[in-house]
Amino acid sequence: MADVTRVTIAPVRGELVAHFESLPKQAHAARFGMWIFLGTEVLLFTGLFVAFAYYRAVYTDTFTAAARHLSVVFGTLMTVLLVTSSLFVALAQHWSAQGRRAATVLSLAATLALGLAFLGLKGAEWGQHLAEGYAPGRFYANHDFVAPGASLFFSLYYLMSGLHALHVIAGLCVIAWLMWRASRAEFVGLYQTPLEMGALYWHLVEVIWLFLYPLLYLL
Amino acid sequence: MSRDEGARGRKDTAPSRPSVNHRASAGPYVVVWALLVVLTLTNFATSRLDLGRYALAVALVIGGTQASVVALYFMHLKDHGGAIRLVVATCVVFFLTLVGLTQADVARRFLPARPFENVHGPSPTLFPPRSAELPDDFPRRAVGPAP
Repeated sequence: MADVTRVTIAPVRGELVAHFESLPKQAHAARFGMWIFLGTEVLLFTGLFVAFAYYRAVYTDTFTAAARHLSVVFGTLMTVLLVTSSLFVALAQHWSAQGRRAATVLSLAATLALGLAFLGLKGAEWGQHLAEGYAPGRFYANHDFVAPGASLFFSLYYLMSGLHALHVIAGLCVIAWLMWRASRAEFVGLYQTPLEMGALYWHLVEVIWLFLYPLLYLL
Repeated sequence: MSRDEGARGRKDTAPSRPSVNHRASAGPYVVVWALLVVLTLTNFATSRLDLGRYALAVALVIGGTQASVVALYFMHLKDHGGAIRLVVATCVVFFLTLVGLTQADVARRFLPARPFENVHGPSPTLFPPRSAELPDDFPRRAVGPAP
């Protein structure tokens, strides 16, 4: 007779919940659900990519000229920061599966530091643009770069990099939570699910940036 | 029978997570990272060349390669089976459909189908006039209030 009083609704430290057959299947369901969620995230950004592609096709010359008003050094540096933070998340997952707790926590701390550095650069960049009058929408106040579509480029720039920055902030909260749990040795043996899901989210945030970087800064 | 015994008794047919190898080196991740950094710098370098109309395609191919590398190695897509790959493929198809169809639309516009222009006539800054495509009696300045 099943011990009904012990049936777990939410998995605690990798316990098998009642409706799954085995731990690998439970982990697979979590991973599959996470990928579907990431798919919806991609489609959320797709709307903005469509708007950007449309207006870039209409105002090609303006958009090309506007990209030269962004700092490509900032953009490249931010890309390298995110790529490196992704490496540390992947390493955290790798070492956690091997039971190396200190290395896991340190890797997640490095991710946190790199993510905060990214946000710092992003904030500094926005501050600089706003001071120069490259404000979104009808607040656009730069008098040196006036061309049809200039305000549209900067509105899309703030929308796309702003929505991305919100995802970075959410990702950093998840990384901090994972770091706390990893420091309490909660990810043991085959139970790595929260770490794996958090890592997937962080990598997706990086993947989106890998497309924002060339579109906003390089072209 | 407890749940644990039931779970142990059955053969696991689910796609398994990558087996834990306690001696596996982290080296491959560092190699992937180095590749991503090199591709970032390549993207930066090619954008400084004047590639004209191919610049966008080159930048997106490099960005797409980076995204694929992240998905395959950092997100472990190479280890996972059909269901997850189907989600990724669906996502890519939807993305390409949405961007591709709107681009096909904007690229094939001709004057009477262009927004913003029909009231006050064609805008030379948005679309340089291509007179050849217009009939002789096409109203250059359509009916409407003056700006």
